[in-house]
Amino acid sequence: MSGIFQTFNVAKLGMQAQQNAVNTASHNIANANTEGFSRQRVNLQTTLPFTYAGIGQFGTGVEVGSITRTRDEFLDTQIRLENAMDGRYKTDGAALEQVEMIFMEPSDTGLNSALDEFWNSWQELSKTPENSNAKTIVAHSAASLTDMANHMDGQLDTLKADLTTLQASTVKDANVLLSQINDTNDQIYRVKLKGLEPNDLMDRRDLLVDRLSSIVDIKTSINEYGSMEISNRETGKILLNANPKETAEVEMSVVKTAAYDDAAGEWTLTVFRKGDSTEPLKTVTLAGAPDAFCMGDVLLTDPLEDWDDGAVTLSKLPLEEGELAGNSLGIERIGEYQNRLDSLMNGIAQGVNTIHSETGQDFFTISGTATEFSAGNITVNENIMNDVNLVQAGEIAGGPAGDGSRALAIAGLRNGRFNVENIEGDIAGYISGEMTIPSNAAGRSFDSFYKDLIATIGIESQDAIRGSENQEALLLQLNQRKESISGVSIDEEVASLIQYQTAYQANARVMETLSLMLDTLINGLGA
Amino acid sequence: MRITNGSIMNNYLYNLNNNLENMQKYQNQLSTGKEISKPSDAPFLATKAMNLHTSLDRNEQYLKNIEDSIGWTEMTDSALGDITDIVQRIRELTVYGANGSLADADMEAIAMEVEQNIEGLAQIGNTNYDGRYVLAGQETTSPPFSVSGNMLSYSGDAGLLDRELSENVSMSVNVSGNRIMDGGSESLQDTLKNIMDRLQSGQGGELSSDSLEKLDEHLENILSVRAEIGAKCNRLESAKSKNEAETLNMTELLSKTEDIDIAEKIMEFSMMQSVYQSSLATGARILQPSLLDYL
Repeated sequence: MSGIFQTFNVAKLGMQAQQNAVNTASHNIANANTEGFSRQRVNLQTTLPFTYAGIGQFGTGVEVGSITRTRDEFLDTQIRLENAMDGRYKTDGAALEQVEMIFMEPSDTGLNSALDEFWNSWQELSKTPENSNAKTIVAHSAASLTDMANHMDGQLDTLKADLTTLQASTVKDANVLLSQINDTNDQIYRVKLKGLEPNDLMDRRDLLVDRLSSIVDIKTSINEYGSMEISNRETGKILLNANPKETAEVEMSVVKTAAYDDAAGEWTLTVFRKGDSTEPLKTVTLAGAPDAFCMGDVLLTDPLEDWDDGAVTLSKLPLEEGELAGNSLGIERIGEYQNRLDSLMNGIAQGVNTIHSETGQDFFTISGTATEFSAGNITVNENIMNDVNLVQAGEIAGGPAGDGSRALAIAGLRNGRFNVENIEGDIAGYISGEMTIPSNAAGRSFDSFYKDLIATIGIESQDAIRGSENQEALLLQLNQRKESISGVSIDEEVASLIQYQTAYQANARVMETLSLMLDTLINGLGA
Repeated sequence: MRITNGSIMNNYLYNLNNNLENMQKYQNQLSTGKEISKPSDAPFLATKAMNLHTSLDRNEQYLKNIEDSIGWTEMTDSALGDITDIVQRIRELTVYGANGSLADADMEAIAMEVEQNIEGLAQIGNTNYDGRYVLAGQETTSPPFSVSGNMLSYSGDAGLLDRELSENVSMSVNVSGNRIMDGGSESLQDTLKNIMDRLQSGQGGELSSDSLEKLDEHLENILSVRAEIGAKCNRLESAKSKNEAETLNMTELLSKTEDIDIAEKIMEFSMMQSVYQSSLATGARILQPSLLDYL
């Protein structure tokens, strides 16, 4: 038989349980807008019943069995995978957008117009070779062409350096996230040991992992103590050990500059260790390394590696997805565009020089010590800039003043087709009597070579923009699903608040009834 | 599907942002008047537009070349016309002088007029266009014709002045003075010298038997050179109209490639605007209420 005081206890437990449920509902409402929060559920269960011989079991009330978070871990994995792709497209797209701004095409002020003006100035000179004005215009339109090429090359160099710095700070961010995840792992481990569910800590860790997943392509697994291990998807190398006390298998660093010495067969790299650009740069020399290195590459090394003893064991992080891959891809693409711009300027310089230098000096010269023309080093011969009469317009030096045939031959280079990528030194096959360089039917004109470059930039940039738009839409869908499972609905919480409040009131009423019963028992009987 | 306040908000913001992006795109197109502002907007269109810009620019240069050449040939044509007139006049004077019954004083007067005309020939031969002597071959900076002691001499060369009229098509626009000097079986210099000598020495017979014949050869030559220049002029005129037709076509094509259809864009823009406004309006209604408003 259950006593009144026993029932008091049932009502008390009931009030406590409802109060706990109200607390959780209010926690949910309070965190309705907290990033990464998953709504929590109070799982109520009956307390152990009390057996009364001959009658059966009396219920003893309610208790909070557990508080769990509602979360679909499979969805998390999917979102992280798509985050990595999104990260790549976004950073790649951002780099390409800047490249497009540097090229400024189509416009009336880009390299395309400078080229048009350059060729036209030779046409004008061919008509008025006796006129030194026309020669001045040739020299100056050539100088504005070379200035523009030099400037663009410089801007592309700066962009590459900026992207490398960005790469370093991204790796630093990743390292900070990894150490935060490590701390959270430790806290979760301690709570789990007590057999409890560390809901809010797990939410916090998931949020950190979500952020990390857009930087680098990762795979996660959770051990029996709730600790998370993080490894790189491509190499399987462990970036974070599940045991918070142990160091990871590898750490990430970023290559600032990479130079290959052909004669010695060695790579010399300068490295931002752990992406920290405030620390002194590390220098590494690798003899006969099979990998090719490039600025912005991410290196994997043992965290215990001694960088100062000169012998560093390292491997390159293969960059498939994630912001790191996007940055690296951006740097690689810019290098490719620079090569093509170099080929173009080299082709033009060699073509013009071949025809021009036959009776005079080279029209274009290289500034610096390089042996081949590039967008960065091409200049107009200083002597010509000082004395425009050195511009050769006629077929023979000191020939008739009205002969503009050499200028016309140079202007004609615009129509020729050449194998622009592979011009080394003078363009082969120059016929000096006719002042012509035979066209190569399989080649391309300088104009279309440049336009192909612009088309490549446009297509690659468009791809990145489209990819990023697609990823955004896909991520929205996935996040909506996640929100649908884990998100807080205010209506729902308010409804359960009312539900628990009503139950609380009912329990209080039970208590009031019991109190009346006691009143009857104590005061109603004895008098 | 369970819908939460957060998912409504996310969806709403995503769509609103898309609408704004589209608005910005149309606004940009409307304010620049161009379909594309960077290669990634439409790589194919961008390079096509660049190609057309280059071709137009090149055509403009060719048009300048053609117009210059037309000026040059017209100047040459008028010089050759004047030269024909002068040689014609010399011929008339020679016919007059060949008439044996003239007094010495008359012969002297004729000789003086021929001499003046020879000076005139040199003067016309030194016609220039924009400071350059049109009949001097490539020696365009120094006057090609001079006269000393009744000798008309040519100091230019036989060089040709080539002009590019369109891609890989070029043409020489000049005729050099030696074509006029060396036109007959005897040079114009000698023919004129002989006429002067014969007038001064009263050899009327030789004038009629030899000089007239030689002079006719030269006249015929000058006319044929002039006909050649006329033909060049015609060729240039037709190159010009071809060039202008091409420019017109390409301008139209360029406009179709990169210019927006304003009416269409404004329609699209105002459609986008009403989509944007209605999304704002639904946002205001959907985001506000919750169960709390009804308790």
